[in-house]
Amino acid sequence: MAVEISGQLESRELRTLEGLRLRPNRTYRGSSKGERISKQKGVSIEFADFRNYSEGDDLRHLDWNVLARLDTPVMRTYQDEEDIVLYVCLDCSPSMNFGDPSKLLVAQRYAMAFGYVALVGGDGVRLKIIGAKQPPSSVMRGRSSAFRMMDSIRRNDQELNLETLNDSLRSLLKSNLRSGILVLVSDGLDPDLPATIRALGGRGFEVWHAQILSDIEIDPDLEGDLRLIDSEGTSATEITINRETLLHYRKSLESHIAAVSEAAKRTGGHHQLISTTDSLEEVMVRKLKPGGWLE
Amino acid sequence: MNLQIPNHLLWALPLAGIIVSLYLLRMRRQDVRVPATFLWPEHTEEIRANSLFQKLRFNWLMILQLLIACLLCFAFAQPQIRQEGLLGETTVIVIDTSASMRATDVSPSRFDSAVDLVRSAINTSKPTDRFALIEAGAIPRVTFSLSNDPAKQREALNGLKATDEEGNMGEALRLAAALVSSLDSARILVISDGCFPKVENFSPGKASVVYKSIGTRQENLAVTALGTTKTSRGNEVYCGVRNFGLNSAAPTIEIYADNKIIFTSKLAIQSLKSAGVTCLAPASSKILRARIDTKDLLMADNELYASSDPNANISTLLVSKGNPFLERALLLDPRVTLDRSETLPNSEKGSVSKFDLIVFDGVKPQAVSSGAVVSFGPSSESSGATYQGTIDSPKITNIVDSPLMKGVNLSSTYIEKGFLLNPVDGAKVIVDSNSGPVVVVDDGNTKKVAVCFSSLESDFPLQVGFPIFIANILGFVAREASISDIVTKSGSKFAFRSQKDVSISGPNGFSEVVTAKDGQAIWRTISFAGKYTAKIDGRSKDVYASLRSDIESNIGTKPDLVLGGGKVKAIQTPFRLQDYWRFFILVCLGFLAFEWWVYSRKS
Repeated sequence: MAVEISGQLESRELRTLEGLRLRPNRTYRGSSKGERISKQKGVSIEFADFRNYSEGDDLRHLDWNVLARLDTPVMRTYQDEEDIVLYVCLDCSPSMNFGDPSKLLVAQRYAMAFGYVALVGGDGVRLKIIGAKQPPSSVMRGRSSAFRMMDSIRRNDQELNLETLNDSLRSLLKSNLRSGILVLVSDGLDPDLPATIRALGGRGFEVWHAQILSDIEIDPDLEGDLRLIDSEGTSATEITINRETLLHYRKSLESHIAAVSEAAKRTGGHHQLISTTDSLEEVMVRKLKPGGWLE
Repeated sequence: MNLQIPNHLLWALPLAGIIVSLYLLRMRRQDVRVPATFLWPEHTEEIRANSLFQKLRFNWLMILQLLIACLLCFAFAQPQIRQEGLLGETTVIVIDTSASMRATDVSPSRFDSAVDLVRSAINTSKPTDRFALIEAGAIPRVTFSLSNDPAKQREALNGLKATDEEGNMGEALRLAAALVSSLDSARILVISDGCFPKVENFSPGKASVVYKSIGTRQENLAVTALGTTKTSRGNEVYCGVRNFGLNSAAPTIEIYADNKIIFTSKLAIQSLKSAGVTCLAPASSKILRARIDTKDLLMADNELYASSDPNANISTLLVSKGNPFLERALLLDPRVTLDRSETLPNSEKGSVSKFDLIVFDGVKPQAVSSGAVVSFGPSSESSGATYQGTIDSPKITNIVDSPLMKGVNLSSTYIEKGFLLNPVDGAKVIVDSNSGPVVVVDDGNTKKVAVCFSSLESDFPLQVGFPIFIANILGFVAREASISDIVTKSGSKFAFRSQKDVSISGPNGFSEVVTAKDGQAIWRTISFAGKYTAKIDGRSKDVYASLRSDIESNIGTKPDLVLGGGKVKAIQTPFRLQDYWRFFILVCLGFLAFEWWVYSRKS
């Protein structure tokens, strides 16, 4: 059954999202002070370790208790806190223009939700539009950037066929972007996607894949002698759809989803299959939060 | 296996061509846009746009359809396979019930063996089989018509009996052909020993003729001749015996006169030869009987009756293409023993004749040595008049008062066409017309009567005077017999002049009451040889019947039959051709059902 949804997040949904924070599995080197614990030793209140005093050290971090007891100068070190950058990759390829509501519309909402959670949590957000053949946007920070971020997403409501999903992601590998969390909001219907995700993992990205699929993709309602036209290609294939071919399709889909999920998890990230009819709040709170995406 | 209509196989070519062409044509498919095609089965192939035809690919469905097309064409060609069995789908069984079938070389007899064959065929018949049974006796009869009712057919079969008659296989086969000659794949099955004359004027039409021969041996002796001649020594009896077997024999011959033995002797007879004996009979004897004491395969011809009075029996030969009116009129006289032939037999062209009377009907008489000659239509000196041409619609102008014309009124007879007769010397014209003589009589040593028209070219046979005219002719040629008893051949038909029903008793407990009608009681046939006693209006009359037929006595089984100019060979193991087109249609339906099941299962 078609679900009526708007192209932007409702205030109720925004309130729910405000209570959530991204939960990366790793720490990343940030570009500015933030609320995330960095690998760098810094001046936050988070205790990290002890080390011997060396000349020139800030005496404010000398552990006087240890000096008094052991007569040895020992320095306390603290974890530095930096922000992280969340790469929100929104798939606007023609394959997203399926389903009711369309996968693109649903994907836009999830991209907004991830971006909003990141901005509210003090993290940076860079938006990458899949299919547009353009680099990620500049980093957006702070709650004040939320509406700019959402507006950027909302403007990409048309299918773009300049670059495939795989090519778009491969372009990130070639850039000198800082590693971070890469949230891929896409249907993931590219046979080379698992390999590309693994490559991104090797580049230091933690890939979180929210795989949006419509019901007609999960359970196609097709029958008879058809000519299937690939939404992202120029070729067509003839097929007689019957019970056997449908079974084959379902097996292929399951195996593809499993491969994509496996690849995402190997990068330290997550994978979640989301139906276009699922409620965003429900998914964020009931699935992604327990799944370790958010806290 | 053979095909009834092999040309139908050629339909497989265009049909296969059409099917393959359809597979060459590209199927019109509905376009559906999908997010990605890589998830669908890999056997899908890219197609070329804007092409009417596509490359022919291996397709099980096409193979199946080609197979179905081939099977259909094969079914339409009506394949048949040979199966052991007497019956086809439509069969007329002609079973020989003539005297030779009573031979006992096959236990218990050839006839019983033939009946067993038919019974077994009935028991193993298929529900779709239809068959009829024709009894080929002296008068062929349809025992049961085309049907499949085994109970009734078995009952009818149980009522069949072999007789001591000379069979009429030709008529029986023509009757069979009338039943099935127009039916495809019908069969006329002849179960016989082949002891019957060559059958002319027979065509089985679309039916095939199968001959199942019965019998293995031919050891048989028959009394073939018995007669008296007044000689200087007295009443001399001649008795002839023929050995039809392949071994020599020496039977004892006994000759009786009025049931008293007058002669007995052993007689050695070579294989396939005849021998005879002579003896003197008492002057007062009436009925002679000769019998041979031997254990051969056919008993019916081991005894022969004859009358010592030559007028007690009129052995008659009718040479005609077929004239039932004349036959019936001749047979009305109980003394007549009638033989029929379309042409004059060679045996009658010599100086000795075994017939008392030869009647030529529509056939020009030839020189014969019989006691009397009667001709209807063309005539010759043999019948007392030659002819010079034809006459049309002669009007009777004069009828001489003659015993021959007693009770006959020819003046009202319409004669369409006749012959202009020219009486020979000594012959008298007893009926004359405006165009020439109509009836000419010669009362010489050889009695001769010439009638200028064939009875079938006039309305004379339809008149009451016709049988009277024939009776008058018989009276003229044979006079009145001195004895009232009748000596005849088995298989003959009799008419007793009686106002009341006639009861007849005979050998082996035979008993029959013949109903009298219009002063006549017609006894249709004497089936068995022997002595019969008829009670006619309170008086008794004995009828002595014998099998006197060389054809029936020569019981050697014939390997081939000559039917209508063609030969039919005897078969030892009868086969039937079983139609299998229904089977192939069922296989096709099975394939179609399988195809539907596979398709629906996949869908």
